[in-house]
Amino acid sequence: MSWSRRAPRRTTRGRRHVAAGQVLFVGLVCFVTWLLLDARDLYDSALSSPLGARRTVAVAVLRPIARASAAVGLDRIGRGADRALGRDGTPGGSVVAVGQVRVAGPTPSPERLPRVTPPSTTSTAAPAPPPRPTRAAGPPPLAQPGPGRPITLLEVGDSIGEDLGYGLGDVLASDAYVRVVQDAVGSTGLAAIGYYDWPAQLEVELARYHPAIVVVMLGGNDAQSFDVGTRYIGFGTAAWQRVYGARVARMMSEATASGAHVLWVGMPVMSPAATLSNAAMVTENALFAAEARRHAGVAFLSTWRLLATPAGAYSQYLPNGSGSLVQVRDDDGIHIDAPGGTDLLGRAAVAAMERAWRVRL
Amino acid sequence: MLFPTIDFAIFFGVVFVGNWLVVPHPRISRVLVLVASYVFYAWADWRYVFLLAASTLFTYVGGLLVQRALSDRRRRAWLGASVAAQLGLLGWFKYYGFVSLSLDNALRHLGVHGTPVPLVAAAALPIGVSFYTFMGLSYVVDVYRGTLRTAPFLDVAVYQSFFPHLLAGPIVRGSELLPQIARSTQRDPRRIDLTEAAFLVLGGLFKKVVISSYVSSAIVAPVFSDPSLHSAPEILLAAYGYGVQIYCDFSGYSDIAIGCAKLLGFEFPRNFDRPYTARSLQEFWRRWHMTLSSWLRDYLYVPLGGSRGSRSRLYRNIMITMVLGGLWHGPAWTFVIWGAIHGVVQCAGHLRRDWRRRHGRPELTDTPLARWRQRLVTLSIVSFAWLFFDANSVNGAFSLVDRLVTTWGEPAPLVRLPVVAAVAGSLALQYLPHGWRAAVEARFVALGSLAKGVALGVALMTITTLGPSGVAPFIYFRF
Repeated sequence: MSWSRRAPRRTTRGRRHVAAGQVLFVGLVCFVTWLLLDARDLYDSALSSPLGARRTVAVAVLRPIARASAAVGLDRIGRGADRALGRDGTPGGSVVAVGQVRVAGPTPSPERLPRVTPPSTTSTAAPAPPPRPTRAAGPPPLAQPGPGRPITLLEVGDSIGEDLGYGLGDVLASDAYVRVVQDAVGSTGLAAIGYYDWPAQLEVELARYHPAIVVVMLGGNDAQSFDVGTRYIGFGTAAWQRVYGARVARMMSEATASGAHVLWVGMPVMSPAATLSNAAMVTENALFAAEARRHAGVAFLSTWRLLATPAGAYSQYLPNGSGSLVQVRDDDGIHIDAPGGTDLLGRAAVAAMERAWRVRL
Repeated sequence: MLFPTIDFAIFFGVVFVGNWLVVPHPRISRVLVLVASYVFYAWADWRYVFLLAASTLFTYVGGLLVQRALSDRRRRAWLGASVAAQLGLLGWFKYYGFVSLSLDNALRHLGVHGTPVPLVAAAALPIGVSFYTFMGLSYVVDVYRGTLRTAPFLDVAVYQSFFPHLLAGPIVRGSELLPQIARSTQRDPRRIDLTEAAFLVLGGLFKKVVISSYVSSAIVAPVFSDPSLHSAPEILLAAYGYGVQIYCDFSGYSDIAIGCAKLLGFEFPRNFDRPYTARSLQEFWRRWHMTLSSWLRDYLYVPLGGSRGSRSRLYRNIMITMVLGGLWHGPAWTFVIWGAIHGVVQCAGHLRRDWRRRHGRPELTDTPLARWRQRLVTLSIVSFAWLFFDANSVNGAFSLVDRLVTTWGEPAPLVRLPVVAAVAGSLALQYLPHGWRAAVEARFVALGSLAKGVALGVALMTITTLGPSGVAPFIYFRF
């Protein structure tokens, strides 16, 4: 082929149309320049990605580039830009506080109240992690919100948690005494805490908002293996359950120690066509429920039946309170569709809190 | 596979080298592009490659049968069958749930309580199905009209699946792309417009990763997801903001697609031409998603009769075109209403122009002040319609409209100077004269290869740094 040899060196200067070989050269220089300048962020991103061949290759390639970038000081450009943009490297999702006080609105109809009990686990659920010491006492009883006693509800989680946050925001919008803070962040979870450290972030949020209630819904990104130090923790193994369970427990303990009650919302059934396995969701849910039982002041809400057909199967459409079919799940078969699904989930969560702590929200 | 990802960067690098290495070999060249396109499509979900293949088969066989039919009646019959097959695929995968749901609810309102219409539990919407279906339809119709000769199967397969346009357009016509595929051996590997391609790709990335993402997270997503929690000033800013977000997102994607195709030696038509400078809704549609609007014009509006005949027929044709155009965007009543708003306003525009003509006045007042007023009014109507386009539901859209009118006294914490500046600045950028870009491109052209690469690398780093953390591009997460 002559497409690169025919073009003499540096002929791109002053020429609009260039040879494919020179385009390739320019593209490679562009890629290498970008890699060197952005190596630190790319390396961090690779480290926090799910374990597997892809991550191994990415880390192996990016580690020496990041070191070279740091050695010649190129990473300072990225750090400087991050500082200028107010990104100091600590985790911190965008917090959208929706704290307007509203007048009281309708309460959920009793027939739609879900059970606030652990889900029935199937044979795919792994054995529960060994018991660990729990707090002797939970938070003080939740006082009925009312005039002079407004409360803050902090909602955290991943992108499915964001959907729940929208539902809670809508359902409680008319509650004059409940301030909802939606702080769920997409692409997060408890497996890749190198990417986003929820236990650490929750401490910050608890100190910031002093919530009386913390609602957690995450796990959609957690069906993955991860490293702890140099140790590989395979998904679903006893070690995974121990470590992941400890992270769940830490979030529960932090919240209850601060005086908040916790509603931990389980993962819903996923579409057979979705990229998430239902067996993994069952494993996670069993673990959430087991940890909830060990922590006073923590309730677990199973959403499995809530977002499934009577036969327990996934469905994108379900009847709403008035019997009309509504779309409850997004086209990806994973996320909760708004407003049908988010409303259903939000009302279920509010009802669960009312039943668990004997309050009216 | 999405454009702003490392996966795509590596994929494209490999395809770029292979594409130019096999240029002298027409068959290998086509097979390479076809395989690359199917890999690209299968990256997210391999099962949908069968849908793409089926659509391609319908296109090819439909074109062949239409061309070989011996009588007009048979030609029409084969055309109808081919269109029905294509629309059947689209309808099943994109509209079945919507139609069943609407039917079920309508029956309930009429008091008919029977077994619910069966729903497909697991069918997820295949990406890009609307785009490649429309490309297939245009091919068969063009063959029927005699404006296009049928092409070999391999060419049709490449035409319909060519990865730069596969997921989100532009909707390229057979008459535009098939001749390029047929002449692919004549592409000159020494004449690649690197400058224009690089500006398109990086400009598209900037629009998508930086502007669209920022405006979305700062104002649009919070307001549209929870209308009841936001005040009128926030909703107003979100409406204009969504206009900026969707323009930057969609035109950014189109720019990247056009740039990538250009690097491989193919030319795509433009898809956007500064739409928010339009002085009327008709002009807006000549500048917005141009390949879709011209498709709707040529394959729906004109066959319906277009502007021929009475005024009532004209209004009917406009409404049908705009409502179906709205529905093309998604299976929801919000899109139907969005299309209807555009249709009604265009009809009103015709009525107004007719009235002005009857009274001996020019169709549009053409003073500088009037021009700016017309632009502002058009932008505001388009922005108002976006409320329906992006709302979660019809009720959500009306809630936005209601609060836009009634909540002016409430606090508006999301209306902050950086957000207002981003929205206003992005709109103002549409008024930049064409010359500025030519001047910047001329400076770039004057650089040597090494300097060009470094400049592009720095630009790329700036984009990834300015983009919010968590944007899909360079983080390996599924959500």
